[in-house]
Amino acid sequence: MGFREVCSSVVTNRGDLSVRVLNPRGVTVARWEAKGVQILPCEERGISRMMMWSRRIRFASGFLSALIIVVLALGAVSCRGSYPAQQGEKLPEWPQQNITLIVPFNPGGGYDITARIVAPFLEKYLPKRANVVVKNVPGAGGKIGVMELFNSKPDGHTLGVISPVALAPMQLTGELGSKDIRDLVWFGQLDWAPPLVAAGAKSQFKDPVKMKGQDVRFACTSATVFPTLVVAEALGARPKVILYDGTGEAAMAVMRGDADVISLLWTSLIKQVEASEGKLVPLFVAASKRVQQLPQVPSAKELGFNVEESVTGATHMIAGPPGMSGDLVTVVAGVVEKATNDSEFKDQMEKAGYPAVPMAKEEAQQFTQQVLQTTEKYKHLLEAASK
Amino acid sequence: MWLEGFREAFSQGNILWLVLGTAWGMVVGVLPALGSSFGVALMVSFTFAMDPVAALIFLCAIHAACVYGDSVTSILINVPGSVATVASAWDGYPMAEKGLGGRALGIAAIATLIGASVSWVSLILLAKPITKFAMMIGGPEYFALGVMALSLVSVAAKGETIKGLIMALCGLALSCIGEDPVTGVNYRFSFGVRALEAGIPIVIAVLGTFAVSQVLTLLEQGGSIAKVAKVQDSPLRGVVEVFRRPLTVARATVVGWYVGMLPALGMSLAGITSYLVEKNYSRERDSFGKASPAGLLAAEVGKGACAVGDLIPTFTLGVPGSVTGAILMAALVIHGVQPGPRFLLSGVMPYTVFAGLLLGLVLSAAILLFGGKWLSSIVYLPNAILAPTVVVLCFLGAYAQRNYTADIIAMVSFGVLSYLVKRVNYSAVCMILGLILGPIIEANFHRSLGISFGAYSIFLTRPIAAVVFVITGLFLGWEYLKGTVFRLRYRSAPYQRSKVAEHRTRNDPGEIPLLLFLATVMTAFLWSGRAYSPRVRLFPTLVCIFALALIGYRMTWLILEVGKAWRFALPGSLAKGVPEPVSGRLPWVWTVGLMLGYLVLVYVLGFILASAVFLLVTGLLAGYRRKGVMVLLSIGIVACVWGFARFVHLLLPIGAIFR
Repeated sequence: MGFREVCSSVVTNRGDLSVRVLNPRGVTVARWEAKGVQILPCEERGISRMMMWSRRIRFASGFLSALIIVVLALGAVSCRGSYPAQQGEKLPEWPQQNITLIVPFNPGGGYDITARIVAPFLEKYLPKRANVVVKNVPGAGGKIGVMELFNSKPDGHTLGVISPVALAPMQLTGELGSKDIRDLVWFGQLDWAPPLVAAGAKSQFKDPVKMKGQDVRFACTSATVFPTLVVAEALGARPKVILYDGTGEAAMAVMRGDADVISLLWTSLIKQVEASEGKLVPLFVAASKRVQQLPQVPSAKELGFNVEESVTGATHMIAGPPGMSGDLVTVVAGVVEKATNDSEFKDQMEKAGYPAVPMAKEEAQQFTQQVLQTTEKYKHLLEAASK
Repeated sequence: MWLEGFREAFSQGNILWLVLGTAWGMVVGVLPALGSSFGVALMVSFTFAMDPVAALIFLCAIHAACVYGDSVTSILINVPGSVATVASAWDGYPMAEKGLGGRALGIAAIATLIGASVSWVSLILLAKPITKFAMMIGGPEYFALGVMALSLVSVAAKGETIKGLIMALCGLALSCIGEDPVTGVNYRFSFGVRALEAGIPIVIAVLGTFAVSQVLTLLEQGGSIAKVAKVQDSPLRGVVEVFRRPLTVARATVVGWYVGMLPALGMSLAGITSYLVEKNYSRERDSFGKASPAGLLAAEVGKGACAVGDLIPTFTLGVPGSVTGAILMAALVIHGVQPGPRFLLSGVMPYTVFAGLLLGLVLSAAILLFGGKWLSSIVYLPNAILAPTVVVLCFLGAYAQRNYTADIIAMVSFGVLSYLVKRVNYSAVCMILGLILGPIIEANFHRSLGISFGAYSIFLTRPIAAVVFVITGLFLGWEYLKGTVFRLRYRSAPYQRSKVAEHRTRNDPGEIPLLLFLATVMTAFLWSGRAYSPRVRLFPTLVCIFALALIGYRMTWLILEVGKAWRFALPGSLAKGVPEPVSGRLPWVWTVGLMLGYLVLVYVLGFILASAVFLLVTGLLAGYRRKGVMVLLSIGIVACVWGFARFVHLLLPIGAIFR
């Protein structure tokens, strides 16, 4: 504690060999004698409350300034340490620390599950040993996490599992500010699956052709609003979007008859169809081809509907922040390619209900471009959706 | 189903969480002034990475154990562990003074267990028929249930309906921040702050309201409790006392269960009501208040019955029965389980949770019965250590949910707001209620209109929804009846009546700045709401207009009715407003300043180092003398927190200098 102000008023009694410490008011605070130190209790010292506080403030400020010095020193040391490495050799030293895999959604969803499946396979093919740690940064439809990815250091230690299909509408409605998803480095795709469209057993729309020109109630979650509107436009229906919090709830609303139709990633909707005991009737797969695992369900194209599958299908891709150096991009892309083509990885994805569809870096970059262009065609739907 | 539920609850992982929850609940319960809402709120955020079943068992065990732990302080040091055990102190403490502390603890353990078990049986009996309707519950029904839950505000605010409504409306307005539940693509009321576009998670608000504001209070009180009654006799004797009074047990159980069953946030009333009823009917009524075992027994049985009875509406209807119920409901939502009738349909899970709850109750009773003596030593823990540790856990919890640093700022703001709000006798609980119910009401309102293609008649043509609306109407009417009934009751307990009267008439000049602040916030919401389409802005606009109207009414009333009285009351109140800096106590402004400093340190140094520094500085500033011990303690606590974070797989913020 603040001894400085009492040190100035040390008084020595030559006669009896005792030293006294006085506070500025002249009251004895402590007394040294031959036996040892005896400090008087606070009340006897007569220190006012104000004094106590002023000492505390001094103590705290001293502590803080010491801390700031330590922090600055450490900062200077770490800066100096990292400088020569950047200017040094040509081949990037990667990874130098753990790699963070940003997932802009809550644990348990498709993004999180696929990221957690791929993480150990990325670790397996890294040139140097490091951990790949999944970091969930959910909120605002994935926007917060994506912005964190955009703003992270382009040193290859921060990657993300995101989807251009979900981000393109955000970019076109100005939600991403001045950011452009084409600036991100798209390293490759983990999985892709088209939606399945199903109707309730009680609904009058069990034949998709009948939807033309009719008011049709679509059960959606906030992530499926835009793809659902695209499907509805292809069907020529007048969609009434009813929003639900989760896919299970949305499917149940259709079973109950509160909504007519649901359009959802086939891998999750087929489970609901199987559990519904006939209350959910699968109509078609919103893509140009049938899905291998559902041979009996026709594709949209067979029924004569032209659905843009690049903006209705669900995908999860690995991306990095803008501004990564060319060499680093090549190294990372190689790791991602090996990891996503690993047969064990494909097995695990299949089991989790996210069939792996690997895609190389160039293809992924092109796909993003294409998604953005196609989404632009549906800008009128984006405006309608926000009202 | 039941067998499976118990088997699942007994599985290795779950039993571990059960024991951990019970241990934590006991500690929190025994600490004075920290109740089960605090214990559960602090832990909700750590359950994200856990399996939902384990998480719910953990949280239910905390709730169960807290309820028992609360009694310890009431009996041994005459400080109620939480509002639920106010009545336990009336006879419990005199017993402890007479040297019958052990017997009193024994009575508390067994009585709470009996009351809780009876309620538990009624919970499972009621749950079964309700599942029949579960599939029929859709948008309109949930809307009706949400409105019903909101009508509880008049009860939650303890007779000050208008204050409660103002806070609830503010909660509703705050719940509109973030992704809108109407179209799903607008991010409302962010006021340019990106983190706000993601909304305010209930957990953050709950942590701020129940934990941070409690820390501010703890540090302002300072010190620890000195006078603890000695436990001399065996708690097992209490068991005999309980079984000698079956009639008391029966009466108190019915009263406690009834109070808890009503979705009325009634934990605080259960113990007192059971006690007062028993005082009217018991043969031993003359000895009440003078170390009568019957009085303690009644209060404890009522409390136990209510603690579980509370959960009945929470789990079966999705209408919170108490503050803890509301937090448990939030936990369900977080783990992706729809609260309410749908919860009972989610496979073995509800049965496992109920089984876990019962096991937690039995385990806690056993702990209290055999270890009550040693548990009481926890109350010696000084606030100078307790409070900063809680802050560290709060920070960890706030960050854990979404890995945002901004959430910590939001949590501290909620803490400060609810602390200030409490000082002028407003109910922060109502705000939380509004925050939880806002999305349920708004989303289901628009869902219903979507289902009916825009026809409002849907709310009356769906039978279940219509019935719930009628019940809500009756419930609101019954509130007035209950008011008169209770007024009669209070006549027989003059102490309580004067308490209530004092509570009602006290006005604080701090209310005016608070109302002005809230009015500003509401106006800002109203103003920024203009940008959205009519459907998207409908609900927030209505809420803000109502809130502004009520605030205006309250302000006018305050100025007209009590303006004169204040002129005399002002100097005293002002003195209360600025607490003197006494050694070992920290005024709330200081604590908030320390927390903000901690936040900066977290950013610079990372979580672990910053926590150690914060613990050390706050502990010493709050008057903990032994520096060496404090250094060791802060290192030890931080090591525990680090181990805990590893155990539940949390990412900790890394300091800017290490990146």
